Amino acid sequence: MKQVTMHRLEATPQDAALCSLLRESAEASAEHAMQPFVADRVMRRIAQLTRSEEVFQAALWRFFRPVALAGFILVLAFVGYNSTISRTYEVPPTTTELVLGLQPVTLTTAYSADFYPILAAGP
Amino acid sequence: MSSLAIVAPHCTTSRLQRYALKSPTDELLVTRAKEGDRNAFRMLVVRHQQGIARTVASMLGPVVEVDDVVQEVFIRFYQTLARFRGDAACRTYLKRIAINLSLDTLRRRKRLASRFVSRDNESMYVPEARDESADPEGFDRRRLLEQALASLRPHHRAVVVLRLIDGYSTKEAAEILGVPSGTVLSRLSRAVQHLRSILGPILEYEA
Repeated sequence: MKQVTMHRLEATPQDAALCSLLRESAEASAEHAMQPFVADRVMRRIAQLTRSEEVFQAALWRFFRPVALAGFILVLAFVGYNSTISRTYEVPPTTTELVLGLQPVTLTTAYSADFYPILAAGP
Repeated sequence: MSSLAIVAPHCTTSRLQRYALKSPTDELLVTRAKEGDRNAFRMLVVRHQQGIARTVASMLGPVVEVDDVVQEVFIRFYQTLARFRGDAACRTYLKRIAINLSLDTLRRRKRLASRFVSRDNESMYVPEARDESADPEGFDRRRLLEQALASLRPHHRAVVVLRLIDGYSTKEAAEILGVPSGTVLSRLSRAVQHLRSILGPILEYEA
């Protein structure tokens, strides 16, 4: 235990006695409350912790590959569908519009009333 | 296999304790532990377990929770090992975790007390059953000391534990608790005054 060098405290015999009694009490409390083989139990818990982390990592890796593959196939299918649809547009779309399936909009079409189906339908 | 593992391959706790107390330094053990050497970490546990147990037991009293909190301290340390840069000493870092976990436990205990214990019974401190036949006088004195410590506010108790029991300086205690040095001094002064008022006759007798 570190040597206590206190400012003002321990100046009187009562203060010194207080420190010494507190330390004595702390030792006794610790001795009473602690079970044996602390290091063994800590290391066992750490091993379990590491094992569960490893299991989680393995599970994540196992699920990641099929999910990533399915996602990639889905994206390809959407791009294929969008590019098929884009053939029907009057104005040729840009690559982004083609991939995302957006309809190309020019200023003329934007200002045309036919562009807005609700307006075109009338009251 | 690291050199430590060669020197102390799966030793029993007592052998390991003897080895850990001799050498090598905490810094070296932390470095080895960071590299995945479990024996090095185990040596750190063996080296610091008593000090941490003393701190936690002073904060919580001699209750069963102490053992769990001490284990939790080392597990937290293991989990944050990668982030430990060694700015503070290993002992100081562990003490900080121990004090924070003890304060959390006391907070939880208080919440539980406010929910389940009658308001008339202010103190939640219930000492464990102990064999008092060996030293009845010492037992009474210890019990009074434990009750005096338990009657302090948790933050005042933390200051008393760090300054008077663990022997840290005001500056070190302030760093561990994350408060200014002035706060440590004022808390210490109030806590000591309170302890003196409870333990006056014992202190005079001991002095």
